[in-house]
Amino acid sequence: MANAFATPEQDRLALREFFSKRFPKLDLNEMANGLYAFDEGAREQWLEMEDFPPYEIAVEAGEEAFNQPFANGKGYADCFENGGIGIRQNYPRFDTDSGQVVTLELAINQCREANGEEPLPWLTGELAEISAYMAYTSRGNEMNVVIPDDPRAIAAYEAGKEYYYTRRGQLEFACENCHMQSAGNLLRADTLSGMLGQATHWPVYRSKWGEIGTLNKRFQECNEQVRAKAYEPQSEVYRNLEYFLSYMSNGMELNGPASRR
Amino acid sequence: MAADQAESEPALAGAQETLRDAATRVQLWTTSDQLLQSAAEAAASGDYDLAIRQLEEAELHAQLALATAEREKTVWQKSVPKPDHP
Repeated sequence: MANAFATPEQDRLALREFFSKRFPKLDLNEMANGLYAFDEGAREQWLEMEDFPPYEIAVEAGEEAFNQPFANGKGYADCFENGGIGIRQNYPRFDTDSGQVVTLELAINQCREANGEEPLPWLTGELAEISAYMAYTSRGNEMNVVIPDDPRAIAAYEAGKEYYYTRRGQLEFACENCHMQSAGNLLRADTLSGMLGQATHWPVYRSKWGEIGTLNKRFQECNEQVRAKAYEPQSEVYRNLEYFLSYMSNGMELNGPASRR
Repeated sequence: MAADQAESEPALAGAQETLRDAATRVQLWTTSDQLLQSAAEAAASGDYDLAIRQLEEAELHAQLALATAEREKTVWQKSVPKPDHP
């Protein structure tokens, strides 16, 4: 259902206004660092970790996997613009041929299947490592998710937006309850990150996972935390959600992969 | 009167169908699957009263998930920040 109130760009600017008023002394670009924009003690620990970041091994493994030719002699570089280097900011993108949102992880597996390879598991492991490498090559680029002049694309954006703001699960939380209304506040022992910049730093090495994981893994985890049954990774629901969330971070510098608690 | 196997098996099948149908329309609670699993285990151990109660609970949770989704259709937009200068 189309939103009668605002265009995606108006949504993005209204969101920035919201956080500007809520945190008048904060450089909004800092919100790309999640909870570390709000929690000074945690930020200091995080900065120390960045000297020897836990995602470093994943980036190296990802680079090796990325450069490993497929059995047919081709490689990931053949599937992506600019050989797959420095392009993370363009994802998710709307594929007008298939009429669906394509995340970077989906594109990686589509590349594999197009070249006769088995798809990789979605949430962790080699797929996340390749995504980490591609994110690393894109650091500093500004998020640039495009919504083409196609009603299907705007419908996908609006579906993601509705999902973000809709309460669900036995605990009846919407994503925005934590990451907009309560951003910067404590939920048990954790400081809640803000919605702005939430998509800039994926995939993420989470200490609680002990490995690098994709944004879909986090979506599933968040769903389960509010006692909503998680969707399958890379489901249409999650891809649309990532599309909306990423558009909201347009203009912000990519800083993935990242480490989090 | 205590429930028996003859009652619990169709009740389990009915609850599974109810949840399958609800899942096509809404994101169910994680508790629904847990209750179905628990009901199946209770039935397997012969505690059919418990199995029936848990199946009824599972179906109630599905109905509540549907009710939340129905309500949210009309209220979610209130949470979206509006531009100060549209």
